[in-house]
Amino acid sequence: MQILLRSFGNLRRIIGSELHLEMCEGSLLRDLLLSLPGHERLLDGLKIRDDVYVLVNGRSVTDINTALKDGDEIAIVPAIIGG
Amino acid sequence: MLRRVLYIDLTRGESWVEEKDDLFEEWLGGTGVATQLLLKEAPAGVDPLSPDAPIIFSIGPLSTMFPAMTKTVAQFKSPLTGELGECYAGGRLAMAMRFAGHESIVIKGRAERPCYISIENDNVKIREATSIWGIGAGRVGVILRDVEKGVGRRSIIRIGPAGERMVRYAAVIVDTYRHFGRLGLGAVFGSKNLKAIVISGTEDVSIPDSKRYREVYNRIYRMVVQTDAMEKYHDLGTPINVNVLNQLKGLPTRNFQSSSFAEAENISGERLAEEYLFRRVSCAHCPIGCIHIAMLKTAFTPHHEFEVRRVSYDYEPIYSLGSNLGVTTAEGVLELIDACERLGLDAMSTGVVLSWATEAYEKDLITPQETLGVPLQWNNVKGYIKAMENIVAAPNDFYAALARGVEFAASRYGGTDFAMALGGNEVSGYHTGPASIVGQLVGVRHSHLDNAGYSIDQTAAKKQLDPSSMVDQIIREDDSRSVFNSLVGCLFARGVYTDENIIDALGSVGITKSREELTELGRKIFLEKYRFKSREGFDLSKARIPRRFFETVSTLGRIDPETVEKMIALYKERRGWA
Ligand code: SF4
Repeated sequence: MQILLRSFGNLRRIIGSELHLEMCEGSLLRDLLLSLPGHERLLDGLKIRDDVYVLVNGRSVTDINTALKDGDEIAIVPAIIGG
Repeated sequence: MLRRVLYIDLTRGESWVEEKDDLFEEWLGGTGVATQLLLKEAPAGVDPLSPDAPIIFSIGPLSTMFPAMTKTVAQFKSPLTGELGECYAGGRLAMAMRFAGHESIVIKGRAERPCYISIENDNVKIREATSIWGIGAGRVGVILRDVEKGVGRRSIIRIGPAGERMVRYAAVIVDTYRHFGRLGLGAVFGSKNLKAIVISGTEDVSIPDSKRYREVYNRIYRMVVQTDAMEKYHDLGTPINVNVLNQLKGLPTRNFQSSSFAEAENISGERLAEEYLFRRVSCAHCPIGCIHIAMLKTAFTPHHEFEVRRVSYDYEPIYSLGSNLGVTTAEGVLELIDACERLGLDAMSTGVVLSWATEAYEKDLITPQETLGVPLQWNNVKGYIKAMENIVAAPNDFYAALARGVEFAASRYGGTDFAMALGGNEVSGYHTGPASIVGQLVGVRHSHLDNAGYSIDQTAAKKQLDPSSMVDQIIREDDSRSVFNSLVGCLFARGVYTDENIIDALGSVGITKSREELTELGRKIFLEKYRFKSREGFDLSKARIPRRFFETVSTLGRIDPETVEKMIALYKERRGWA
């Protein structure tokens, strides 16, 4: 199945701004995240780090065992920064 | 340590210094001390633009002695909201005040003619400024650099035409690229015929135990430069938030009509860093360098030479003058930021005033006669620049109303449902959820920086937070920031300045405080600020929340007005005001 992945902020330098990925049927979000370069910047053990947001089709997802489906759009976003 | 207050009376042309050990002992410095000076020096109900209204500047006990302890707080009665005016600026001002030996400065009165103040240690001169009145803030800085002493140890702060004309949200420009932006300090300068202040000095600071100081200093310095606590501010800086908020549906767009912007990428921190960034600079005594400077290249006239302008950018102006005005190019946003700088306007208030005006124009609440033919349309950068110039020149009632802020303009022309102010102050760029709204509403200066409600909403996007725990967090931030702002550190460094590090740093300069004492002090300072606010007429029960907040989807989905009401009621109860 085809997955479109986008990343933002300083994560872009590690992951790239836009990737078209071919994943096996039945893949989970964790499979995708663990396949990315610099995945330690995204995961704290098997949890998404507090300062990273993963959106699947625009919705924030915290469960890395979420099943992916063909055509999913995933955004990996760092936390808001400021005073 | 010198704990002195410099008083300057512009009406009488006099200045004097008072030692105020007890004041600093009890209230630490910065905002704690400034609040006490404001309560004492501002007569109840004073007109903010009258000679009797004071301006207070304060630094803190760690200023320039520890990394990122770089800010100066200004307090005054705000001509925009009619209650507490408070804003912070970095640059070199805190360093120059430290060298001059004054932890606070109080300015009162009104000069007969345009003037600027030159301070060198205890030596204060009030000088004629007729020849620089009417000149843009950038140029005034260049002129004063030439005629005043103190190179390397001085700071120059000044107003532009907006301050002279008393636009209620005029800024004071601090050195290069820093500002006392919010709540109209520039107008208060203008009302006093005060164009600029130059300050420098040669005082030493004595440290009681230099070995201990060095040890604590080195530990904190290492945390600043060797951990990732502050790196993100140097890297892309706060403009990283453009794409982040756009993805999280929290980026105010076209006057909060939407929370995502199709052209966000064009005005994002990533795009600016790739194509426009040419250097980063720092406040004095900060190793981070988060001030991002873009190079804006424009043609003088078609087919002729180019002009290159250096424009500093961060997230808030990109929101207010960018997505919020539907501006689709980085050049457009930089042009608008540069126009604010030239005129001496606060970028955030200006953007929100113009976004309200654009929507009001679309809805026929305002006529082309009133705009004097200026097309107020999303993404019309030239039109917006002309409108800004008109806000400053106030050629008719409409622009004079815009110069008094969005709350006032909407009270005259209608459209209060989409006049995006809280507590009378134009709002910040986070449509993240209820904590951002409540945080700005209850905050002492109605700013996202009072308690970072947006950050609480962001946490809630991942884990369930009920209204009650959100309110508790807002109160904790309100109070702990009152302590940090009494040290007047840069809020970007607050992750480094844990309670333990603050206690150690204070101890190393001879000030002993326990965690409990600091917690209690934070609460007391917050309540003292509310004493000023209430005295000047602020009433939380009557505060208006624009309906637009509840119409547009936020990071946490559609915001329920009942949740916000409940949080305000809980807040009042926990503060003991119910
Ligand atoms: S982090 Fe930025 S704003 Fe803060 S003190 Fe350093 S340079 Fe100034």
